[in-house]
Amino acid sequence: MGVTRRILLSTGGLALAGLSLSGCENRDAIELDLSDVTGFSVFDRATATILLDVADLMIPRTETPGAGDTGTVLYLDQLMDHWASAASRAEILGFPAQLDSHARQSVGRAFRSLSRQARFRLLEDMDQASFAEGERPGFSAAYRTLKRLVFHIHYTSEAANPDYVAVPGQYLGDVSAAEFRALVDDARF
Amino acid sequence: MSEEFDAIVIGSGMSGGWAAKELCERGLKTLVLERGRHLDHPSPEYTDFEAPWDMEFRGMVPEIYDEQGRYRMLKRKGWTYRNEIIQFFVDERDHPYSYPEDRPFMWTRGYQLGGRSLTWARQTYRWGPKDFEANARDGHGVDWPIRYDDLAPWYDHVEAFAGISGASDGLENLPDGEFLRPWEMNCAEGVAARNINRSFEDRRMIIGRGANLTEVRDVHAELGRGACQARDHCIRGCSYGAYFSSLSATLPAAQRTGNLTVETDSVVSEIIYDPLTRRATHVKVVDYHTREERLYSARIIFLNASAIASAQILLNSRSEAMPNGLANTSGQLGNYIMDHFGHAGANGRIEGLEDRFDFGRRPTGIYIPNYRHEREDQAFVRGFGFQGGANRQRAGHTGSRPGIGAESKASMDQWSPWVLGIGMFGEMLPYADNTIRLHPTRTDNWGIPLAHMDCHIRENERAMIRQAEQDAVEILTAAGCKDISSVRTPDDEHVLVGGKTHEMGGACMGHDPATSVLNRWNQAHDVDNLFVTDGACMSSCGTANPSLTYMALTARAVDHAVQRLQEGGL
Repeated sequence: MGVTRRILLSTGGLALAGLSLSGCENRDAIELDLSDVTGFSVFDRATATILLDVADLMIPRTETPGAGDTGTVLYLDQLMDHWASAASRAEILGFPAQLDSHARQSVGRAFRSLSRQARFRLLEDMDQASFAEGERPGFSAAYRTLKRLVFHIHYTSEAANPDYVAVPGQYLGDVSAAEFRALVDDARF
Repeated sequence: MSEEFDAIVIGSGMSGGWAAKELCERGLKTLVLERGRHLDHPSPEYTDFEAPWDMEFRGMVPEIYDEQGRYRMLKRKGWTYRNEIIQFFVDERDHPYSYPEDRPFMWTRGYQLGGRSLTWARQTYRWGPKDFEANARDGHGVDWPIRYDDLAPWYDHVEAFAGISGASDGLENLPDGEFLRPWEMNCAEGVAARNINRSFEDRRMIIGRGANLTEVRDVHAELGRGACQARDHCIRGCSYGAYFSSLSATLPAAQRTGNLTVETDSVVSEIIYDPLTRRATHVKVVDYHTREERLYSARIIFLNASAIASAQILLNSRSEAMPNGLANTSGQLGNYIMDHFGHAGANGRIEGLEDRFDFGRRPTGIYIPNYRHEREDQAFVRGFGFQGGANRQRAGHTGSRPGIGAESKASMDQWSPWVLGIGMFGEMLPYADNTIRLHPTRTDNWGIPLAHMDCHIRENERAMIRQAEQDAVEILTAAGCKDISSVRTPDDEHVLVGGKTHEMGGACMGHDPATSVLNRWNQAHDVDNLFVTDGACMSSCGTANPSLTYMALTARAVDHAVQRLQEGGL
């Protein structure tokens, strides 16, 4: 049985009783490495580690770059220093602890000790629930803030914008996919 | 002591730039007073070459501003609340104005050389004969003292210099001009336009006419202006000078005559009047930084500070002879404030073009001009047009919707179908009691009473909004759209006047000095050497974007003023 929407819908989104990620406390659980995270000025090592993992679960590397490839969490760290309001900063900085607490309540284990698959399932359920419940404050709001920023940072990165052309030089209103690709490639390089 | 010039222009934006150019080219030593800072062209403040990943904060306005209560109205405006352009907009915390608590007014300003001509949407339409006849026909507001034919040659004049792209559409109330090559419609717009034009006798969907150079003629090249590169980053400033602005076009043209002096950081507080000569003699300026007062004098004064600010300056120019403000013996100064309004529209999918794309970022959209003039089968007078466009994008790289992981990422990378959207531009009637006044007690940092705006729409506008939603659905249905969804602001919700940044009125033109502020030459009835040619002069607001009309009125007024000056009549 997976984590359901009720996790976040009940009592501010944190309480959960009687649900478990059966099969997720499995033998291939990956202990997140907390030792090799550098370059952050606001996030401590544990916070950065969890946020790096969450961003990568949200936008994984596929045939195109993932959030881990685009320096998303490092940029998020810079935003916390110079851009974020006190409220957003508190939400983001408090998120890993809330996530961990949520994981312990949901599946009885620390978030970072779950397998990648289990972490993804936990996050995916949280994603559905947080949008279903609307603009309520609390953990769910913190999740939405984090997700909004992760997506914005990743999708404004150079690696995530292979079609961006700085100077198109012309406007053509009706081209085929092949013509479009050729025009983009020609204008970018 | 005061410095003397032949002419003073107050404001360097859309109309002020034109006044400066036309005055300087006629040989007048002209001073332009701008309350904002100096900007070069191209300017280091332009951000047009920044890719999304180069932008500070990736284009997001610092959240800290929320905590500080800054840029509240700009945030409310929405699409202009971007970090890469925020330097071109005014923070009302630093430059406050007021309104009744239950009727907020949106006053979007740009305090820099060039004013809002840097950030305008560049839609440029001639007003048609019916627009200038509307007040006389239905009795609202003050009859325009001019008609389309009075302005037609001046539209020719300003279009040629500014460079306006467009097609010759042959529409009765949207006169054609000498246009540069039009932008092309994209494939979805082409399908929709053919269907709409076939389905209706009165509704035409045309490509938007805009002030971006689709081709460069000598008059543009002489000023170093280049062709538009289809980047659609205009609002960030254009290093190519490809869109018309005071900085790229009129001020350089004025500068090359050797007759132009520009004083920035110069906040005009009032215009001083001599009742013996019936002339405005001086302009009083407060230095933006030092608060030091200075006086400048000239033989003629053009007031081009923008509709609200021009009315504010005149209201603040009180004297024993004119205790209610300069040029206000009619008592109409500050009345008839107008703006276009939206608040209804629709969008829908265009199918069958899934394998077709567009390339480049076209800096204009489509236009469906007002087709509801003089109809008797409707619950309102005047009418509305629609602006919009069709586009397709990747399905949505947003964190504001559910979905994470590889599967979600893949679906977000898919191209969405073509979607055509249109939004209304309604004509607000001129109501005498939609006003700007001086706040009785509050002043700004320069000792000038705050502008206080009290404006709201009435039943005529509400009826238009209701009709526009129906029409939008009808038009998109005819266009062949599927999955049409429409929006409309409910009748009981306040419509923010000023939301379209097309503020007009406050010093309206008219025949009669008893009921209007300006005559047919934009000259104050009460003050022979004072001309107002920005949005304040407008007696009605039409449905088409007004900047081209301000330009034409300004060029016409300068021509008249200089002729009168040369004849010894001023």
